[in-house]
Amino acid sequence: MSFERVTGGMHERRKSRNIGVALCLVFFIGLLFVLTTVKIRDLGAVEGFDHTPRATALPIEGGS
Amino acid sequence: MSDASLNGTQSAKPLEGPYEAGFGDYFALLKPRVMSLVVYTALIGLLAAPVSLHWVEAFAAILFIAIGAGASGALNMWWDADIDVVMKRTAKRPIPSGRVQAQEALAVGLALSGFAVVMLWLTTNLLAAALLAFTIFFYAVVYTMWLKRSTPQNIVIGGAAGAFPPMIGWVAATGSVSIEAALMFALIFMWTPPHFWALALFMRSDYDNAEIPMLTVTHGRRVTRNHILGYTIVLAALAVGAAFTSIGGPVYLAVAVICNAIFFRDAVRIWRRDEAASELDNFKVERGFFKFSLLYVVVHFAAIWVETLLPSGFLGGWL
Repeated sequence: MSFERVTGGMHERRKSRNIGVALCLVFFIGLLFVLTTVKIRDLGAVEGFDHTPRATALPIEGGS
Repeated sequence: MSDASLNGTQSAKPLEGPYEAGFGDYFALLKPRVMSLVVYTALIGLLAAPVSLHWVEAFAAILFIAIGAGASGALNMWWDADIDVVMKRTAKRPIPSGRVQAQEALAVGLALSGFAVVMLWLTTNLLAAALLAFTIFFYAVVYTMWLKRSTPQNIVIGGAAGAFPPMIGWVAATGSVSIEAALMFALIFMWTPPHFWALALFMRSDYDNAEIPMLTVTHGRRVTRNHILGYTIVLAALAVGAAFTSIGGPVYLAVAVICNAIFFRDAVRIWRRDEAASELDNFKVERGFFKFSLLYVVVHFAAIWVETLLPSGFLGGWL
Protein backbone atom coordinates (compact mmCIF):
# COMPACT_ATOMS: atom_id res chain seq x y z
CA MET A 1 0.00 0.00 0.00
CA SER A 2 1.47 3.31 -1.02
CA PHE A 3 0.58 6.81 -0.03
CA GLU A 4 0.86 9.73 -2.39
CA ARG A 5 2.31 12.86 -0.92
CA VAL A 6 -0.39 15.51 -0.75
CA THR A 7 1.02 18.78 -1.95
CA GLY A 8 -0.30 22.23 -1.05
CA GLY A 9 -1.96 22.75 -4.43
CA MET A 10 -3.50 19.32 -4.32
CA HIS A 11 -4.87 20.00 -0.84
CA GLU A 12 -6.42 23.25 -2.05
CA ARG A 13 -8.09 21.56 -5.01
CA ARG A 14 -9.37 18.74 -2.84
CA LYS A 15 -10.80 21.29 -0.45
CA SER A 16 -12.45 23.24 -3.26
CA ARG A 17 -13.96 20.01 -4.58
CA ASN A 18 -15.35 19.05 -1.19
CA ILE A 19 -16.80 22.49 -0.53
CA GLY A 20 -18.22 22.67 -4.05
CA VAL A 21 -19.94 19.30 -3.78
CA ALA A 22 -21.28 20.16 -0.31
CA LEU A 23 -22.72 23.46 -1.53
CA CYS A 24 -24.32 21.72 -4.51
CA LEU A 25 -25.93 19.13 -2.26
CA VAL A 26 -27.25 21.75 0.17
CA PHE A 27 -28.59 23.80 -2.73
CA PHE A 28 -30.23 20.74 -4.26
CA ILE A 29 -31.90 19.77 -0.99
CA GLY A 30 -33.20 23.33 -0.60
CA LEU A 31 -34.46 23.37 -4.18
CA LEU A 32 -36.23 20.03 -3.71
CA PHE A 33 -37.91 21.31 -0.56
CA VAL A 34 -39.16 24.52 -2.19
CA LEU A 35 -40.16 22.67 -5.36
CA THR A 36 -42.15 20.13 -3.36
CA THR A 37 -43.89 22.92 -1.47
CA VAL A 38 -44.86 24.63 -4.73
CA LYS A 39 -46.08 21.37 -6.27
CA ILE A 40 -48.26 20.61 -3.26
CA ARG A 41 -49.70 24.13 -3.28
CA ASP A 42 -50.59 23.66 -6.94
CA LEU A 43 -52.80 20.74 -5.93
CA GLY A 44 -55.11 23.13 -4.06
CA ALA A 45 -56.38 22.94 -0.49
CA VAL A 46 -55.25 19.86 1.39
CA GLU A 47 -57.47 18.48 4.15
CA GLY A 48 -55.52 16.94 7.00
CA PHE A 49 -56.83 14.34 9.45
CA ASP A 50 -57.59 16.05 12.77
CA HIS A 51 -59.84 13.50 14.58
CA THR A 52 -63.03 15.24 13.47
CA PRO A 53 -65.22 14.32 10.51
CA ARG A 54 -64.30 16.23 7.37
CA ALA A 55 -67.14 18.37 6.16
CA THR A 56 -66.58 17.46 2.56
CA ALA A 57 -66.58 13.74 3.39
CA LEU A 58 -69.97 13.78 5.14
CA PRO A 59 -73.06 12.72 3.16
CA ILE A 60 -75.18 15.63 2.00
CA GLU A 61 -78.38 15.90 4.03
CA GLY A 62 -81.41 15.12 1.90
CA GLY A 63 -79.16 14.28 -1.00
CA SER A 64 -78.83 10.95 -2.74
CA MET B 1 -24.61 23.79 -28.93
CA SER B 2 -21.90 25.98 -30.13
CA ASP B 3 -18.67 25.28 -28.35
CA ALA B 4 -16.78 27.84 -30.32
CA SER B 5 -14.72 30.42 -28.58
CA LEU B 6 -12.12 32.91 -29.57
CA ASN B 7 -10.36 32.37 -26.26
CA GLY B 8 -7.96 29.69 -25.25
CA THR B 9 -5.83 29.81 -28.33
CA GLN B 10 -2.64 28.92 -26.50
CA SER B 11 -1.78 25.27 -26.37
CA ALA B 12 -1.57 23.81 -22.89
CA LYS B 13 1.33 21.84 -21.53
CA PRO B 14 0.45 18.49 -19.95
CA LEU B 15 0.72 18.57 -16.19
CA GLU B 16 3.63 16.83 -14.56
CA GLY B 17 3.15 14.59 -11.53
CA PRO B 18 -0.06 13.63 -9.75
CA TYR B 19 -2.96 16.05 -10.03
CA GLU B 20 -6.31 16.00 -8.31
CA ALA B 21 -9.02 17.96 -10.09
CA GLY B 22 -10.62 20.83 -8.24
CA PHE B 23 -14.31 21.70 -8.41
CA GLY B 24 -13.64 24.25 -11.15
CA ASP B 25 -12.00 21.58 -13.31
CA TYR B 26 -15.14 19.45 -13.22
CA PHE B 27 -17.31 22.51 -13.82
CA ALA B 28 -15.23 23.33 -16.90
CA LEU B 29 -16.25 19.93 -18.31
CA LEU B 30 -19.78 21.28 -18.60
CA LYS B 31 -18.74 23.98 -21.11
CA PRO B 32 -20.10 26.96 -19.14
CA ARG B 33 -20.06 29.29 -22.17
CA VAL B 34 -22.24 26.88 -24.13
CA MET B 35 -24.48 26.47 -21.10
CA SER B 36 -25.04 30.22 -20.98
CA LEU B 37 -26.51 30.20 -24.50
CA VAL B 38 -28.61 27.13 -23.66
CA VAL B 39 -29.92 28.80 -20.50
CA TYR B 40 -30.76 31.96 -22.41
CA THR B 41 -32.62 30.34 -25.31
CA ALA B 42 -34.40 27.83 -23.06
CA LEU B 43 -35.48 30.66 -20.78
CA ILE B 44 -36.91 32.64 -23.69
CA GLY B 45 -38.70 29.52 -24.92
CA LEU B 46 -40.20 29.10 -21.48
CA LEU B 47 -41.12 32.76 -21.04
CA ALA B 48 -42.61 33.04 -24.53
CA ALA B 49 -44.98 30.14 -23.86
CA PRO B 50 -48.63 31.04 -23.24
CA VAL B 51 -48.64 28.95 -20.04
CA SER B 52 -46.70 30.36 -17.13
CA LEU B 53 -44.95 28.20 -14.58
CA HIS B 54 -44.40 29.13 -10.95
CA TRP B 55 -41.03 30.90 -10.81
CA VAL B 56 -39.51 28.12 -8.71
CA GLU B 57 -40.57 25.51 -11.27
CA ALA B 58 -39.29 27.70 -14.08
CA PHE B 59 -35.94 28.19 -12.34
CA ALA B 60 -35.60 24.46 -11.68
CA ALA B 61 -36.56 23.60 -15.27
CA ILE B 62 -33.92 25.94 -16.69
CA LEU B 63 -31.35 24.61 -14.22
CA PHE B 64 -31.97 21.00 -15.23
CA ILE B 65 -31.92 21.86 -18.94
CA ALA B 66 -28.57 23.59 -18.35
CA ILE B 67 -27.23 20.59 -16.42
CA GLY B 68 -28.35 18.30 -19.25
CA ALA B 69 -26.55 20.51 -21.77
CA GLY B 70 -23.46 20.53 -19.57
CA ALA B 71 -23.58 16.75 -19.27
CA SER B 72 -23.59 16.38 -23.04
CA GLY B 73 -20.61 18.73 -23.12
CA ALA B 74 -18.73 16.45 -20.70
CA LEU B 75 -19.54 13.43 -22.89
CA ASN B 76 -18.32 15.40 -25.91
CA MET B 77 -15.04 16.17 -24.14
CA TRP B 78 -14.63 12.52 -23.15
CA TRP B 79 -15.04 11.29 -26.72
CA ASP B 80 -13.09 14.11 -28.37
CA ALA B 81 -10.13 14.11 -25.98
CA ASP B 82 -7.82 12.84 -28.73
CA ILE B 83 -8.63 15.69 -31.12
CA ASP B 84 -8.98 18.37 -28.44
CA VAL B 85 -5.33 17.89 -27.55
CA VAL B 86 -4.15 18.79 -31.07
CA MET B 87 -6.41 21.82 -31.52
CA LYS B 88 -5.16 25.11 -30.09
CA ARG B 89 -8.71 26.23 -29.36
CA THR B 90 -9.45 23.20 -27.20
CA ALA B 91 -6.03 22.17 -25.84
CA LYS B 92 -6.64 23.91 -22.52
CA ARG B 93 -9.79 21.93 -21.77
CA PRO B 94 -9.67 19.80 -18.60
CA ILE B 95 -8.92 16.44 -20.27
CA PRO B 96 -6.23 17.40 -22.81
CA SER B 97 -4.50 19.55 -20.21
CA GLY B 98 -4.43 16.57 -17.82
CA ARG B 99 -6.54 18.10 -15.06
CA VAL B 100 -9.37 15.56 -15.39
CA GLN B 101 -9.19 11.94 -16.50
CA ALA B 102 -11.28 10.94 -19.52
CA GLN B 103 -13.11 8.27 -17.53
CA GLU B 104 -14.05 10.85 -14.92
CA ALA B 105 -15.57 13.01 -17.65
CA LEU B 106 -17.56 10.01 -18.88
CA ALA B 107 -18.84 9.33 -15.36
CA VAL B 108 -19.76 12.97 -14.79
CA GLY B 109 -21.49 13.16 -18.19
CA LEU B 110 -23.55 10.00 -17.71
CA ALA B 111 -24.49 10.76 -14.11
CA LEU B 112 -25.55 14.33 -14.81
CA SER B 113 -27.46 13.27 -17.95
CA GLY B 114 -29.60 10.84 -15.96
CA PHE B 115 -30.01 13.31 -13.12
CA ALA B 116 -31.05 16.19 -15.39
CA VAL B 117 -33.57 14.16 -17.39
CA VAL B 118 -35.27 12.61 -14.34
CA MET B 119 -35.38 15.90 -12.46
CA LEU B 120 -36.82 17.77 -15.46
CA TRP B 121 -39.49 15.10 -15.73
CA LEU B 122 -40.41 15.43 -12.05
CA THR B 123 -40.31 19.23 -12.24
CA THR B 124 -42.26 19.71 -15.47
CA ASN B 125 -43.44 16.89 -17.73
CA LEU B 126 -42.37 13.72 -19.51
CA LEU B 127 -42.24 15.26 -23.00
CA ALA B 128 -39.78 17.97 -21.94
CA ALA B 129 -37.61 15.34 -20.24
CA ALA B 130 -37.75 13.10 -23.32
CA LEU B 131 -36.70 16.01 -25.53
CA LEU B 132 -33.79 16.74 -23.19
CA ALA B 133 -32.74 13.09 -23.28
CA PHE B 134 -32.93 13.11 -27.07
CA THR B 135 -30.89 16.32 -27.22
CA ILE B 136 -28.14 14.82 -25.06
CA PHE B 137 -28.16 11.68 -27.21
CA PHE B 138 -28.12 13.71 -30.40
CA TYR B 139 -25.18 15.86 -29.32
CA ALA B 140 -23.10 13.14 -27.66
CA VAL B 141 -23.78 10.25 -30.03
CA VAL B 142 -25.14 11.50 -33.35
CA TYR B 143 -22.98 14.63 -33.59
CA THR B 144 -19.87 13.90 -31.52
CA MET B 145 -19.39 10.19 -32.18
CA TRP B 146 -20.75 9.96 -35.69
CA LEU B 147 -21.15 13.13 -37.76
CA LYS B 148 -18.27 15.23 -36.52
CA ARG B 149 -15.55 12.98 -37.93
CA SER B 150 -17.39 11.60 -40.92
CA THR B 151 -19.07 14.35 -42.93
CA PRO B 152 -18.66 18.05 -43.73
CA GLN B 153 -22.37 18.32 -43.00
CA ASN B 154 -21.51 17.65 -39.34
CA ILE B 155 -22.46 21.06 -38.04
CA VAL B 156 -25.51 21.38 -40.29
CA ILE B 157 -27.17 18.26 -38.90
CA GLY B 158 -25.48 18.47 -35.51
CA GLY B 159 -26.78 22.01 -35.14
CA ALA B 160 -30.11 20.48 -34.19
CA ALA B 161 -28.69 19.69 -30.76
CA GLY B 162 -28.19 23.38 -30.08
CA ALA B 163 -31.59 24.24 -31.47
CA PHE B 164 -33.57 22.11 -29.03
CA PRO B 165 -33.23 24.17 -25.78
CA PRO B 166 -35.87 26.83 -26.62
CA MET B 167 -38.21 24.04 -27.69
CA ILE B 168 -37.59 22.22 -24.39
CA GLY B 169 -38.28 25.44 -22.50
CA TRP B 170 -41.54 25.89 -24.37
CA VAL B 171 -42.58 22.26 -23.82
CA ALA B 172 -41.64 22.48 -20.13
CA ALA B 173 -44.27 25.20 -19.77
CA THR B 174 -46.97 23.99 -22.14
CA GLY B 175 -46.50 20.22 -22.23
CA SER B 176 -46.70 20.09 -26.02
CA VAL B 177 -44.72 20.98 -29.14
CA SER B 178 -46.19 23.75 -31.25
CA ILE B 179 -45.38 25.82 -34.32
CA GLU B 180 -43.85 28.54 -32.13
CA ALA B 181 -41.41 26.06 -30.60
CA ALA B 182 -40.57 24.74 -34.06
CA LEU B 183 -39.86 28.28 -35.31
CA MET B 184 -37.44 28.97 -32.48
CA PHE B 185 -35.79 25.63 -33.23
CA ALA B 186 -35.50 26.52 -36.91
CA LEU B 187 -33.98 29.90 -36.12
CA ILE B 188 -31.01 28.39 -34.26
CA PHE B 189 -30.77 25.43 -36.62
CA MET B 190 -30.29 27.70 -39.64
CA TRP B 191 -28.02 30.07 -37.73
CA THR B 192 -25.52 27.38 -36.70
CA PRO B 193 -23.85 26.62 -40.08
CA PRO B 194 -22.80 30.18 -41.00
CA HIS B 195 -21.72 30.75 -37.39
CA PHE B 196 -19.42 27.71 -37.40
CA TRP B 197 -18.18 28.04 -40.96
CA ALA B 198 -17.04 31.60 -40.26
CA LEU B 199 -15.07 30.17 -37.33
CA ALA B 200 -13.66 27.43 -39.55
CA LEU B 201 -12.41 30.03 -42.02
CA PHE B 202 -10.12 31.69 -39.51
CA MET B 203 -9.32 28.58 -37.41
CA ARG B 204 -8.47 26.39 -40.39
CA SER B 205 -5.23 24.95 -39.10
CA ASP B 206 -7.00 23.65 -36.00
CA TYR B 207 -9.45 21.55 -37.99
CA ASP B 208 -6.74 20.48 -40.44
CA ASN B 209 -4.52 19.26 -37.60
CA ALA B 210 -7.36 17.36 -35.99
CA GLU B 211 -8.44 15.90 -39.35
CA ILE B 212 -12.02 16.95 -38.81
CA PRO B 213 -13.85 17.04 -42.16
CA MET B 214 -15.02 20.61 -41.93
CA LEU B 215 -16.32 22.10 -45.15
CA THR B 216 -13.18 24.24 -45.39
CA VAL B 217 -11.06 21.07 -45.43
CA THR B 218 -13.15 18.82 -47.66
CA HIS B 219 -14.57 21.28 -50.20
CA GLY B 220 -12.28 24.25 -49.91
CA ARG B 221 -12.63 27.74 -48.63
CA ARG B 222 -14.35 29.16 -51.73
CA VAL B 223 -17.19 26.66 -51.34
CA THR B 224 -17.40 27.49 -47.62
CA ARG B 225 -17.79 31.17 -48.40
CA ASN B 226 -20.56 30.32 -50.88
CA HIS B 227 -22.29 28.19 -48.27
CA ILE B 228 -22.12 30.94 -45.66
CA LEU B 229 -23.88 33.32 -48.03
CA GLY B 230 -26.46 30.71 -49.05
CA TYR B 231 -27.37 29.79 -45.47
CA THR B 232 -27.42 33.45 -44.44
CA ILE B 233 -30.02 34.19 -47.14
CA VAL B 234 -32.21 31.29 -46.00
CA LEU B 235 -31.74 32.32 -42.36
CA ALA B 236 -32.70 35.92 -43.14
CA ALA B 237 -35.87 34.80 -44.91
CA LEU B 238 -36.78 32.59 -41.97
CA ALA B 239 -35.93 35.15 -39.29
CA VAL B 240 -37.82 38.00 -40.96
CA GLY B 241 -40.70 35.72 -41.93
CA ALA B 242 -41.08 34.67 -38.28
CA ALA B 243 -42.11 38.26 -37.53
CA PHE B 244 -45.45 37.48 -39.17
CA THR B 245 -46.11 34.42 -37.02
CA SER B 246 -47.31 34.12 -33.46
CA ILE B 247 -43.81 34.57 -31.98
CA GLY B 248 -43.24 37.78 -33.93
CA GLY B 249 -44.64 41.26 -34.07
CA PRO B 250 -43.58 44.82 -34.89
CA VAL B 251 -40.66 44.95 -32.44
CA TYR B 252 -39.34 41.59 -33.54
CA LEU B 253 -39.72 42.63 -37.19
CA ALA B 254 -37.66 45.79 -36.66
CA VAL B 255 -34.93 43.83 -34.87
CA ALA B 256 -34.94 41.05 -37.46
CA VAL B 257 -34.72 43.43 -40.42
CA ILE B 258 -31.77 45.35 -38.92
CA CYS B 259 -29.86 42.28 -37.72
CA ASN B 260 -30.36 40.33 -40.91
CA ALA B 261 -29.38 43.30 -43.06
CA ILE B 262 -26.07 43.51 -41.17
CA PHE B 263 -25.61 39.73 -41.23
CA PHE B 264 -26.34 39.57 -44.96
CA ARG B 265 -24.01 42.49 -45.69
CA ASP B 266 -21.15 40.75 -43.83
CA ALA B 267 -21.92 37.42 -45.52
CA VAL B 268 -21.64 39.14 -48.91
CA ARG B 269 -18.30 40.63 -47.82
CA ILE B 270 -17.06 37.17 -46.87
CA TRP B 271 -18.30 35.79 -50.18
CA ARG B 272 -16.54 38.48 -52.20
CA ARG B 273 -13.20 38.09 -50.43
CA ASP B 274 -10.46 35.71 -51.42
CA GLU B 275 -7.84 34.13 -49.21
CA ALA B 276 -5.21 36.73 -49.97
CA ALA B 277 -7.47 39.55 -48.82
CA SER B 278 -8.50 37.64 -45.71
CA GLU B 279 -4.98 36.81 -44.67
CA LEU B 280 -3.91 40.37 -45.26
CA ASP B 281 -6.13 41.64 -42.42
CA ASN B 282 -6.03 38.40 -40.40
CA PHE B 283 -9.64 37.46 -41.28
CA LYS B 284 -11.09 40.64 -39.83
CA VAL B 285 -14.40 40.33 -41.69
CA GLU B 286 -14.77 36.63 -40.84
CA ARG B 287 -14.03 37.30 -37.17
CA GLY B 288 -16.48 40.18 -37.16
CA PHE B 289 -19.16 37.99 -38.74
CA PHE B 290 -18.57 35.30 -36.11
CA LYS B 291 -18.80 37.77 -33.22
CA PHE B 292 -21.92 39.39 -34.63
CA SER B 293 -23.52 35.96 -35.04
CA LEU B 294 -23.48 35.60 -31.24
CA LEU B 295 -25.20 38.95 -30.81
CA TYR B 296 -27.64 37.96 -33.58
CA VAL B 297 -29.08 35.08 -31.56
CA VAL B 298 -29.22 37.06 -28.33
CA VAL B 299 -31.05 39.97 -29.93
CA HIS B 300 -33.54 37.83 -31.86
CA PHE B 301 -34.54 35.86 -28.79
CA ALA B 302 -34.73 39.02 -26.71
CA ALA B 303 -37.15 40.41 -29.30
CA ILE B 304 -39.27 37.25 -29.09
CA TRP B 305 -39.47 37.74 -25.34
CA VAL B 306 -40.29 41.45 -25.65
CA GLU B 307 -43.18 40.58 -27.96
CA THR B 308 -44.71 38.43 -25.23
CA LEU B 309 -44.58 41.38 -22.81
CA LEU B 310 -46.34 43.78 -25.13
CA PRO B 311 -50.11 44.01 -24.97
CA SER B 312 -51.83 42.34 -27.90
CA GLY B 313 -52.65 45.00 -30.41
CA PHE B 314 -49.51 47.01 -29.65
CA LEU B 315 -48.74 49.14 -32.71
CA GLY B 316 -51.63 47.37 -34.37
CA GLY B 317 -50.01 43.96 -33.75
CA TRP B 318 -50.94 41.62 -36.50
CA LEU B 319 -51.48 38.45 -34.55
